[in-house]
Amino acid sequence: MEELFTCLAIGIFSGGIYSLIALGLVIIFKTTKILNFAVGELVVMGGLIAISLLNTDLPYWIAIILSVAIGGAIGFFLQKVILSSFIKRPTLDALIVTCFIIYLVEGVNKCGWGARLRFFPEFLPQGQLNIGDIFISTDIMWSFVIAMGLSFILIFIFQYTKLGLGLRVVANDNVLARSKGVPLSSTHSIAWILGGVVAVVGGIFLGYRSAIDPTMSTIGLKAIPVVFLGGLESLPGAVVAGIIIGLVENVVGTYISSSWAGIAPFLVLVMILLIRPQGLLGQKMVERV
Amino acid sequence: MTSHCPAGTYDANYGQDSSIARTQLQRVFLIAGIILIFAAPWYLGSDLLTQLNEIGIYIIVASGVFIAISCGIVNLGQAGFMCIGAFTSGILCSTAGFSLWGALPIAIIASGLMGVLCGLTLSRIKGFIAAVVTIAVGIIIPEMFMIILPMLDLPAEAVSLPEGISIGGKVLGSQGLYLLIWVLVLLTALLVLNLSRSKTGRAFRGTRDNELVSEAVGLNIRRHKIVALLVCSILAGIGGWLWACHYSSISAGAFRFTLSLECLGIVVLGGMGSVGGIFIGSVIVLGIKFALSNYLLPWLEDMFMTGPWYGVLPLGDLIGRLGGITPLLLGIIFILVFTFSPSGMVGWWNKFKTYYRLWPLPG
Repeated sequence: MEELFTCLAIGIFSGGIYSLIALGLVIIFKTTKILNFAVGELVVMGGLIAISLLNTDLPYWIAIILSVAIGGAIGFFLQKVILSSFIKRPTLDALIVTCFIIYLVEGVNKCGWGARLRFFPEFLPQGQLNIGDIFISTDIMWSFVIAMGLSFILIFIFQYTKLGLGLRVVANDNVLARSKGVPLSSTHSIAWILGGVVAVVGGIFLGYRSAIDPTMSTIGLKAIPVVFLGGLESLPGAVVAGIIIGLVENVVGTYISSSWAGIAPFLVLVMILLIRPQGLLGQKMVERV
Repeated sequence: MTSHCPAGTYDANYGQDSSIARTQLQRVFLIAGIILIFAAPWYLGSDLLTQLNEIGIYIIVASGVFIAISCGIVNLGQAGFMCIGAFTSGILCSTAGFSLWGALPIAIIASGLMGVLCGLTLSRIKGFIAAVVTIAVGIIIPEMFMIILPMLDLPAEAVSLPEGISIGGKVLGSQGLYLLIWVLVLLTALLVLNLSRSKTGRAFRGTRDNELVSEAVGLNIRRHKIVALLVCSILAGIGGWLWACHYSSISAGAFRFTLSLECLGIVVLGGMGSVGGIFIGSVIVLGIKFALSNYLLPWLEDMFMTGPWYGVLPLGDLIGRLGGITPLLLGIIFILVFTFSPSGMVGWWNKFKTYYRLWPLPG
């Protein structure tokens, strides 16, 4: 029984991180209609940047803020240099180019950090949390709390601020948005900056749980099943789905085998597309010519 | 974008407009090219032949991605379909005593079935984001084989085939394999050419360009997407089977996500609308990979290990770091070409042709 509860708790906690990464994807998708396939590599890159900065003499909080800022800068760079020339081209082209960004980022990761495993210093409070018979280390819990906090901040920004209004207008009708004076390119930049920031934070927490090396891009790709499970356009859906995917992965890993755990999220993806293509909290899209 | 025809060449009917070789000169070059390809075993060394074998396999597999893209499906799981073809034949040959020829139809059926399954899932959602299903396939299938192989008492790292491919009781060497692969390459090219010129091909393009309108004019876009993925996965299955013939030892590690990306890159680099582009793209991508891994990387390694740059990079990590050069370079090339020429290398070639045919008038 304790085993089950521990496994569920860890599942929920690691799912929170997937939720956060998935939110970054959803925000980019809602604003630009591009699904960022490079998310896996970007997450790895974020983790590696954070490790390098955390291993310097800087205080931890400065190192983390710096790496988050670099993440935002990477998002901005990707949008300005590569994707801005794809705004006027078919969505198919933009999707394909995000696939090539995978190559680019993978190359940078490998050249910059080599192929060996890297570990995070322990910067979150250490210790154990006892609830009844369950023991959970507090750092996992803290990463969950921070990830959830950031998720709610992101949702708040998107739904209730002027910045978010701009993002949502562009998402809804970019011709109308442009005619009302909302600049398209810089709004897209904002979405990509948020995406980059989220990828770094996600990379920090995912890497913190185990370790990180430049070849483990599939770990961040798990955000894609999360996005589709929650519903492609739904922010709360991403949060809920992240936790579900985390649970599924951990339960499968504990009770079946660890090799099934890696593919369980993708099996969920195939199943949800067969059963309910619009996702758990998504709405059926109505298209008009 | 197609180029201007030379002066004096008129299209009197649709057949002429869509013919493979439009002018007499093109026909001559085409036949000469085919002769050159099939005479290669008599004038090329076995090193180059092995490279050409690999290029041929990539052309077949990338043709599948080409068909999927012409229907608006960004296929990121081609390695998964290939994996099915390769491992089906590998498992059948090493446990059930099949010959490679006997395993071929089963490999094709297995990968085709997976393609249809994938197509059924994929056609449930509209738009290009449906590509995620293929990502799932590309990630799930190699992992699945890692789980299945130990159950069949086979080593999970690599399945080795008991014997190579043979014709009439004689095992083919690299020359025979070369001829086999390139016959299949030409058949594939012919299939893709005819498919994209036919009614089905036009329906694919309609589905890609605007799903709503295609549906409104009466196209069954679900069916077309499934057919596109079926053809795509069958070609990948044949590619996987050839992979098994070529390497005679197959490991799931070879069918990584980057292999699917390479196939996509080949199609885009060559030019998304033209079959010749697949040939050009494969030669360029594999040529770059070959040149890097055989010349540049050993040279850089020497320079860092013993040469003048000794100690610039930490030695323990050197190989891993240098391994990043290939994806970095390929990524930059793919992005640059795709940004500046949506129709790839062939687009540039066509622009050039238009330029010199219209010269001295401005194009």
